[in-house]
Amino acid sequence: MRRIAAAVAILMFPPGAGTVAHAEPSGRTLALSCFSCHGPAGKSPDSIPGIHGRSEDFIAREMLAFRSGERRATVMGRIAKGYTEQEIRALANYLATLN
Amino acid sequence: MTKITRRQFAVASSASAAATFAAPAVGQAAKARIVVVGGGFGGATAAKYAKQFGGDQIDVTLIEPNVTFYTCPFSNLVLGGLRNMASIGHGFDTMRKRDVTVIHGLATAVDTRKKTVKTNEGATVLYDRLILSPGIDVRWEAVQGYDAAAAEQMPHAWKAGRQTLLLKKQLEAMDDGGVVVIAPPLNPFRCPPGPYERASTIAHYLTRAKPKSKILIVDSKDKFSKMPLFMDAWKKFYGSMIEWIPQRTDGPVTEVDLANNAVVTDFGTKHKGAVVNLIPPQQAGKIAAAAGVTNRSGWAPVNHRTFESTLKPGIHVIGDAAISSPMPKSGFSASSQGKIVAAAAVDTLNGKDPADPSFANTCYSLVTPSYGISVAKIYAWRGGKLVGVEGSGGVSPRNAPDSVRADEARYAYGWYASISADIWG
Repeated sequence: MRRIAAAVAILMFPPGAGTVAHAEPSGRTLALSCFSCHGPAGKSPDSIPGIHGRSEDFIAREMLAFRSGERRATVMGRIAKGYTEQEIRALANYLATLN
Repeated sequence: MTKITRRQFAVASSASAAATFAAPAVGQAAKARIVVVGGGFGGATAAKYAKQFGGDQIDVTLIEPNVTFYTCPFSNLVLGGLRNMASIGHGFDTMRKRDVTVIHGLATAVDTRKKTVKTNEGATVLYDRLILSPGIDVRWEAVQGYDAAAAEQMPHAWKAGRQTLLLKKQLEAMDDGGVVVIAPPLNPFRCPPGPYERASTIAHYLTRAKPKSKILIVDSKDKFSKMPLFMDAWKKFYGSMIEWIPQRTDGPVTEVDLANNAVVTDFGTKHKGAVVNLIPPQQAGKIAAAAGVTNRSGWAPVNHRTFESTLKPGIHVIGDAAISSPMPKSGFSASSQGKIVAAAAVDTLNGKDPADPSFANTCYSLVTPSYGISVAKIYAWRGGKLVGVEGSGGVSPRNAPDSVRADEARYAYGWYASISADIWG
């Protein structure tokens, strides 16, 4: 059954069909990048501040402040500028579900 | 545990895995299978997250030759005497606890019709989706005279492990006043700022242990990653110890002269070293070519939305082996791709169209143990292609105070601890 479903998916969405409209990246997809510096599920084992246990509002507010430059940072300003406000809210929403 | 028992354990586990996979149990509901080749930054990430996303519905198998995987990131700190090898080695016990089947062996062949991967230990593993993350192989003889035997005399140390220790021993044995030649290759290659961080950590060691020594970087390029930041910091901390010779002065390195322990440039200049670290031209790890996913460049072309091979459907290629530009060949990039590909492979097996991806890269370099610099970028799928998001990322500011460099150095160590925990921890 799964095989058939997969085959249908391949027919419907052939690889390389870049112009076909797909779903936008989910909050989970966006948030996965955070863990490489902030630790798995946002739990940091070392010197980088953890982000686990923070509320959706807190994370979104901090990210927006990094993005605008209102909050000074070494690298987070450069990173936050890579996301739209909508994306920031989506990743913050996902991160809060890990609490 | 001693080395021998670990090795025996590895052989035993791969042999039993071979039996399991060669004869699937009858009567069991067939689960979809994701097989990942390579236990480094890309592959180990993909295996962990494929299991996390796929849960009980999907079997995940990771094939990796080494019982302990040593990372290239932070191996420059080992060369500078700032870390030991154990601190950059990672095992796969946690991966097993997560219900990922780990087979220690070298993947040697892929049969895309039967959908199997074979290993040198005799295992045959069936897959529904295959993720290849084999890293790099050296292109022997691309620099004339540089073959596997030459790498024993002039270590590349561009795969961490034995080669790292070989280069370290040579540095330790060198007399004060010796010249260390570092010869980086043309783009593209693994870890673009790596050779220059290496010059820095070696300079840190030499400044203390052998202060009359010199480091000569004989480059096959005219510019390099984070160049102004490295140049400023070299002058500040190491004076004239590090000299950089661009390609325009001497031509690229085309040959090694083993009798004189020298590298030879296209213009015929010989640069002799007491220690020579030749970082050779590279290509995708062997299994990529064996699977038929590489093109003439030696690297694997992929659709950047899902990192699925454009040559062999059903096979994803990630990490250094893939043509991932605009993303650089870095451990962070590979891990970022591993997460996206894990989600894409699980979605595809579940009959769902993978959503658009989002990738990131942040790469720290340490110029001294307390002076760090970085480059970062966010990548998005826009208008049918992968782009670096405008306005995001870039390098650390050029005229930042030392306190900012100290913060970035602290974060460099923090990054290594976090990404290691995220992947192997």
